[in-house]
Amino acid sequence: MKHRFKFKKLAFAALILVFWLFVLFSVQCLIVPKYQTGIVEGSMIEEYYDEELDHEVIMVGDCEVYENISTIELWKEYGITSYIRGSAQQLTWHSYYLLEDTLRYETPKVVVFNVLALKYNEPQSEAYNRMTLDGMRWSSSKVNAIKASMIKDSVDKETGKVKEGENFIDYVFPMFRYHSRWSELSADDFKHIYTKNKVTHNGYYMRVDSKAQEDFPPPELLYDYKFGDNAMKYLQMMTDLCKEKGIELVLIKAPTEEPYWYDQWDSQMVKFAEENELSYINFIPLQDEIGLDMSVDTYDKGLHLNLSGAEKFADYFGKWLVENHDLTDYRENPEYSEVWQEKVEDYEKAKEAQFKEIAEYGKIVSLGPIETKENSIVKNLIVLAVLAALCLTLVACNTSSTTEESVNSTSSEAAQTSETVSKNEPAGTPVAKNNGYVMAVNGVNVSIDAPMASLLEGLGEPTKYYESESCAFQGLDKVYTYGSVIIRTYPIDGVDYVLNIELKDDTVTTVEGLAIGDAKSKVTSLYGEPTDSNDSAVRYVKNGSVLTVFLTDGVVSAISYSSEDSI
Amino acid sequence: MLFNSLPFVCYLILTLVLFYVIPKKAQWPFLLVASYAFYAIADWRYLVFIATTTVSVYLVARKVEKINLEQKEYIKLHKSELTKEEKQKYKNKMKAKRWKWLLLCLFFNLGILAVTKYTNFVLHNVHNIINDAAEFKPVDMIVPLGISFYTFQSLGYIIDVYRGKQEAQKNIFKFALFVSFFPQLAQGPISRYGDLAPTLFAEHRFERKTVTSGVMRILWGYFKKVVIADRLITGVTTLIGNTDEYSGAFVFVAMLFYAFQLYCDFTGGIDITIGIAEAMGIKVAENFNLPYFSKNIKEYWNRWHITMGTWFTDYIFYPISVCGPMLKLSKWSREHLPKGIGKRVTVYLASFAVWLTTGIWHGAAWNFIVWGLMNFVVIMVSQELEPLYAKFHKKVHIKEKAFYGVFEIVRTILLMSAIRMFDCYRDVPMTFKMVGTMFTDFDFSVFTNGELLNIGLTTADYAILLIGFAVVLAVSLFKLHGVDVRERLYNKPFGCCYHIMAALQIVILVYGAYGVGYDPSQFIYTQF
Repeated sequence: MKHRFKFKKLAFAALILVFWLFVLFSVQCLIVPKYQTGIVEGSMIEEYYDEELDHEVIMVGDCEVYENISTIELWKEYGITSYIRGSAQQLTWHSYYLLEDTLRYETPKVVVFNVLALKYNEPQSEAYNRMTLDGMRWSSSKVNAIKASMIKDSVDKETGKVKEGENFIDYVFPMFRYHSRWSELSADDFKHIYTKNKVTHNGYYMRVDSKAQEDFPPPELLYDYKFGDNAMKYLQMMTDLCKEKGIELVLIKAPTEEPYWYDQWDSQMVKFAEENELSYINFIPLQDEIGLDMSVDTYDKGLHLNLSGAEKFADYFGKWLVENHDLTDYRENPEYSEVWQEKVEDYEKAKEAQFKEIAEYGKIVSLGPIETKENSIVKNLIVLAVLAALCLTLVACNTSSTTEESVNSTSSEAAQTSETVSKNEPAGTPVAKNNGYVMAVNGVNVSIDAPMASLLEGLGEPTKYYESESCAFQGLDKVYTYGSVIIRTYPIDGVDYVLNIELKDDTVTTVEGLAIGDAKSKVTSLYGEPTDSNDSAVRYVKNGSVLTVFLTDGVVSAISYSSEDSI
Repeated sequence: MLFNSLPFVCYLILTLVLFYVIPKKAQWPFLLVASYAFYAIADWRYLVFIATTTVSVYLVARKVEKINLEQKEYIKLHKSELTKEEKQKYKNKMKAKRWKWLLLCLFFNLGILAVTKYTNFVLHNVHNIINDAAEFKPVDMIVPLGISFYTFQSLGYIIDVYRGKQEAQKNIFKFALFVSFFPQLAQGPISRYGDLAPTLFAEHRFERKTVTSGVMRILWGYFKKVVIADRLITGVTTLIGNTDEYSGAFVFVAMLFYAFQLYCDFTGGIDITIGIAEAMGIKVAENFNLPYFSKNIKEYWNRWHITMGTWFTDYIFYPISVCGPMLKLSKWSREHLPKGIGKRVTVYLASFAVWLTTGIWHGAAWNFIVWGLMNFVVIMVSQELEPLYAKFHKKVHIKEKAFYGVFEIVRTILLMSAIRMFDCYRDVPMTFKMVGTMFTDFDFSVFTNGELLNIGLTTADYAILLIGFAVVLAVSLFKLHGVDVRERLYNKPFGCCYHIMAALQIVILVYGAYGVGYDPSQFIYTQF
């Protein structure tokens, strides 16, 4: 009798514990960003785990892969079973660990890696880290990926304040990171509390709209064109992993021209591929051969391909894959064919839906899920209601939550964009490096990280202006040309900050009096001994800002200002 | 390791589990190790300071007690041989011996406190006096965590041993635990040895009710600290940090916000401290008794930071009041000054010393000293005006009315909050100036024109603060009416208290002001 009573008590305690753990889990599910409308990249990585069948081709990389290659077209044309494990600003170590993670589930014949990410040698942004890493299933690969990616604490040289970095524990318990979203929860958060809709077609993110490519601004001058050791280390690890597993690694540079792919970078890739006996294809010079017409095959003025471009590129690249690798045409295989037929149907439906929206609104307004099979607010509310009822029975407490169904709209997209980015960015907005180097443009002192809006009036009308969707940030990258000076900006939380300043010719001089065409000795006499130098440039660092003077045959050939953070 | 940090929460859970898992005999030694580990994690160099205080106070206490025992033995042995005068002479001689040891101990430990905490304050003032043109460069000093708390706690012990009120602890490790008990190390309360020791060194078996009650109090403390106090920091910092922009009504808002923030911060921290101890079956003295229900400033100080107040009363006020020169002065003033005043001169002088010390104890800055003295002035003035109040109440019968009670409470809150602005602005002239703007530049539209939404607090934050305030008020009202909320919840059926605890935990996790976007803030009283 006593034992039974004790057992009953224990069982009751266990029930309470399980119940509240479930509530805690549900609250965590509710509070984390869903990435189902607007910025959907955060949903991409986890979709892979729903795949029923293996793939012969796995592609890893950033937007240059998941927006430029149609996996469905590869199937339709060649019967290639492929998947893109890609996410926004996916860095080389992200790709390595995602590949390692993928190889736990399957061993493809070919792995494709897009090399643009090599330009980044250090973790860049918490927001993008989370978009890539949150979707990964827990494994040693995820743990190592987090460790390799976390933004570290840093001290702002200007203000002396510590900029908080990332904590591993925040990945284990995302509630610690996202709890402050409680006041911004939307209908989407309730709708997708337990389940999400797919946003890609085997990793391919579809956009059918079109915006013709325009002239890109001149490429930014770099102090050092050598890829960083850290990025190259992970590329080597990827190479070794593929060799160990008997997988053929193919390095590609997608056919889009912006962000700029320097010849120096290309040479390094050619050399690396030769040394490691890999295939490397730079598709930029092959645009015509592929059949790309950048006046119609891009949706964002040339940064990424739209559906038409992605299908053309898939046709070309698929042909190369089939010709150069021992791939199987699975279209005749009933098992594969049945699964892929469903994917094709979803693809066609999504295509149709996007075209319909363009016809109706002139643009795509719902950059959201491509399936609507099992999620509904009603269903999730039922789950919550059951929970509440259970809670009522247990403690006679009342818990309820109501949500309203909402339609996707551009305003809700915008809201999610700002919400996701503002909450994901580590604390601290840029601080203008006023005490660093400044460049006088049209009588206005321009410093790195200064808010551009405060300078625009004084600077007057630019002689040339260019803007494009930012790849590294959320918003628009802008390039202002004022006579012989180029000012580039980057966006954070809707505010544009000065990224760098470049002097184009000898008609302008720096505040200190240096101009293009001056001798190297003048540089030293004006600025003293450089902080560091290489064969073609000298660099000066002052209060977080960097002045780089490029030299050709002992003469100043270019001058640029940038942030120390970018070194 | 701040109380409101994840490592501390993990450390706490581990300590609690191990405390009940290990053999009962090992419980207090384990707590000593845990306390020293806690201190070492903060900075291993701190250990040198706390160990020095522990050893010095322990040795002197043993010495003083030995002298006491020697005296007792001697008198017992020579009872019949000694005349009354000889006995008194011998007693005086021994007292002087004990006094020397006590003074040595007090000077040594207060010296450590003074050097670590006040060197820069003194140097800065000397620098200002000699008007050195060069910029003052503070000396890089280590200020051990909670040095004011553990020094005062240890000195209270040695004084009690000196007075013969307390037996000296023979086991140095037990005494070390008394000095370093980790939950109260950072921000008190300042425990008395006689109150803490019995349960600190006792063996404790796991009792569901004790642990539940302790954990409930810990969670309540975290709720006040993380959800309310840390949320208010943003607003208070903005309002206080921009004196050009925020004056008049904004100062009034800052004053009230800071009052609420400090209350939730300090009482929250003490709730965590007492809750941790309670979960281990250890009784730590209460430090608050609904201070914001006080009807006058004197009552307020009997309810706020009680252990500090009683410490100053017992170890500063009384000794000063009854010391030789003061007794002489008392006699003189009674003879030479008007009747009422003459009686109170020594009391006021002793009070002045207490409040001056209280100010200095809170921080090495003039604002704290002025804050302490302001308290003294207000208490003194209100005492002097007491006959006037009595006359007023004799004529106007409102004292028994409920609204007058509320008025007295509000008046005390406003008065205390206004004095506390010295702590806020940390600059004496600036505080006077800003408080002045409340009377010269008060713009009511501040409350309606949405400007209060530009101080780092959103509508949602205000909603949380309002709910938090309502909850804190409700719990306080229960306590005021003698209801023990935790006891009541524990006795409710269906494990109600566990559901409340789990829900509270989720509330803290979701609505807490922590993580990215919030500056990790330490407890305000940890700085003292």
